[in-house]
Amino acid sequence: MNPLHASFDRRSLFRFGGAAAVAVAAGSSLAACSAPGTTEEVLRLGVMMPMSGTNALLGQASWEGVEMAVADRNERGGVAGKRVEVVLADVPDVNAATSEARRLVFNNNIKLGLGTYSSSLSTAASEVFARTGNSFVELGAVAAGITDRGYPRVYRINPASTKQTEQALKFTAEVLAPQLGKKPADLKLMMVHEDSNYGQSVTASADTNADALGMSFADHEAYSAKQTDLSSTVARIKQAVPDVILAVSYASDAVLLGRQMRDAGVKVGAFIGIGGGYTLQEFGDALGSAAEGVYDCDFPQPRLSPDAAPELAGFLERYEKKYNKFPSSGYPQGNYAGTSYVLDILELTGGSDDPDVFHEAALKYEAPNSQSVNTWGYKMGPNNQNERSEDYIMQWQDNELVTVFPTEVAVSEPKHTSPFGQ
Amino acid sequence: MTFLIQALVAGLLLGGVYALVAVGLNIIFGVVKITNFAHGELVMIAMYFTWFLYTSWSVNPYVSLLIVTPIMFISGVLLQKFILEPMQDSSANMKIFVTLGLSVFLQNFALFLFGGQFRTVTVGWAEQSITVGGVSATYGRVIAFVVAILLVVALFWMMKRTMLGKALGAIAEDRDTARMLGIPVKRYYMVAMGLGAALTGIAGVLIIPFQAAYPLVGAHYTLMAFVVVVLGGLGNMTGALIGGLFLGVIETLTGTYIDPALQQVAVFAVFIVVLIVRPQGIFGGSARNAEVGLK
Repeated sequence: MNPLHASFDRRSLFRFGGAAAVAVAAGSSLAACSAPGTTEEVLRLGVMMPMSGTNALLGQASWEGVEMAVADRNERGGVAGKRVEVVLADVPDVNAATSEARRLVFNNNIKLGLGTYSSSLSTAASEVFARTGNSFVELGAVAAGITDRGYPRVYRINPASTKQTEQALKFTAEVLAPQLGKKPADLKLMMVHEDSNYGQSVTASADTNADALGMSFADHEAYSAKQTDLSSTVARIKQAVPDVILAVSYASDAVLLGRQMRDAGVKVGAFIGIGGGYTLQEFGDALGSAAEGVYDCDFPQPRLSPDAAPELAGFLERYEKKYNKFPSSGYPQGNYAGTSYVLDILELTGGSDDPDVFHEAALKYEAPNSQSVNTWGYKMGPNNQNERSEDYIMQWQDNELVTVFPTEVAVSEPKHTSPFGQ
Repeated sequence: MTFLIQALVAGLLLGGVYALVAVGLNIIFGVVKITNFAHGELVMIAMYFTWFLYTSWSVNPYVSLLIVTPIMFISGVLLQKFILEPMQDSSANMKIFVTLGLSVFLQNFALFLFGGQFRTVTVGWAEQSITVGGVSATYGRVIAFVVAILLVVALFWMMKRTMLGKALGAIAEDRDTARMLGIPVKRYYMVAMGLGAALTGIAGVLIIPFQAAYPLVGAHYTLMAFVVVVLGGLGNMTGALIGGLFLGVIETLTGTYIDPALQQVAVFAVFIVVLIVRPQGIFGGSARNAEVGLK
């Protein structure tokens, strides 16, 4: 018998592999717990992000912001003398969001949950926290329903979809209409959106905002973000010949839609992508010169006026040092800002995560817009929605996503370039 | 009229991609009798290989066919030898669980290795459009379509005219009798799995010029390949090609003329109707020998 086989047969290999897997799993769980033998007081937060699956790209980017904010705060002595620890749960889909939220609440005794980037995941996870009388703070999901369900312990620091579409349509009326030589009401607007909770929520907000500005959408085109071919959607866009398209996409479908619009030679006056898909550097890289001129309405991005966010330069320096890259989107910034505010509120509670104490402090706390790394301030409004968070308009110029609107945060002028290389 | 022709062309080109992915699944299904739920993930691996060769050594994706295809063949052989062969005599459910588990494993391993980023390969001329009479298509998609047809023709010829094809056909017909006739079944299983995986390699290489690689890209292709294979007739090569084209056209026409949100509804409505009316698939034999071999 081969001596190697004798000492390390298939069964041993499986046993070794199983033991290694258990060790790795145990190691990662222990990493979230306090170091044994220490008497240091610890404040534990639950964080739910899609670290795997379809939303992993921006889920991981969001997690980076949370991780940095907690690390920075611990470096400065923690919160009210307590070291902050995070129990991270991967929530790739809605079922996982529900079960992981339950695990955090019942097994880990977490009273304050943060998350989740995705509207569908947030709706599911926040439901568990709210129904068990605990607190949940959303840092990145935009669906209006998250804070409109009447749960008193569910808060949102990032702007909701209503603000996103309001900004996009304001930009359309004030900047694009004159560029295209039309009155806002005469513009032929088209809404193209993926058909999940996210896309539908943004579309509903866009319709309401358009009405308020005296505009309307001539067409609505829904598609599944799981499609690997969007030629039908592109054909319908080509036939409709819209002046301005508002498109709501996740990451892969944003690239696919852009590529197929370029390949089909679709001509539109302007294209505003809403949300993460059009924000990512990967979008600019995949489209190359065809991305030139495409607008994006999303959370504040790294390339914005330093006067509007004095803390941004320091954040970017620390981020690049920690992750060895420039942020590929505004999600690390946004989640950093949101988590920092949560930690400020916990400072106000004296380090207590009791839902009632947190609630009182969350409503009392205020911060000016200049305080954060992405211009978001903090003041809770109706339905526990932060009133001081905004979306901005960016444009792809020379393979960089630069902020172009509103002027007080802009680093460049909006350039009238027909998108997708047409 | 041009609009309709454009929609039909787009549907046929999309169907070509589905057929390209499905023919590999058909060989595996027909010979090894394994419902390989990790089939799309093999396409994903091939896409990452192509991207890696392109970004690391500037290998043109179409040239990388010569590298990726053999690598995927070997991957298929190893997959059969070390994972599927030990499961060969297990129940169908166990095989499904194993390939499903493998699918999730490969998705998450890719996520670990490459992150969730979208990896694209730019081939300038493949992204250019060819326009005839107002109907346009990119060279990349046309090439994928043409190769899908050529592959089906080549496989058809191989199955009918070569010893390898005849042996595979015999195993597909009756594994035990083939073994009694002296055909080394286990070895041919590895060959079939290798061939199926090599075909996913070709598909992955030809898809990446117009479809970004990311960890979950294979999931949709797995689903559509199964639909194509069942529609066309299990183990039927011509059926896979025509099933793929049919599906592509249904999907695109529904999206263009009714609503893009209903594309999947239409595809699966047709799928369910075919399963009820003709469970052996459009080009399958009689219902009783639905699982019989490669034709």
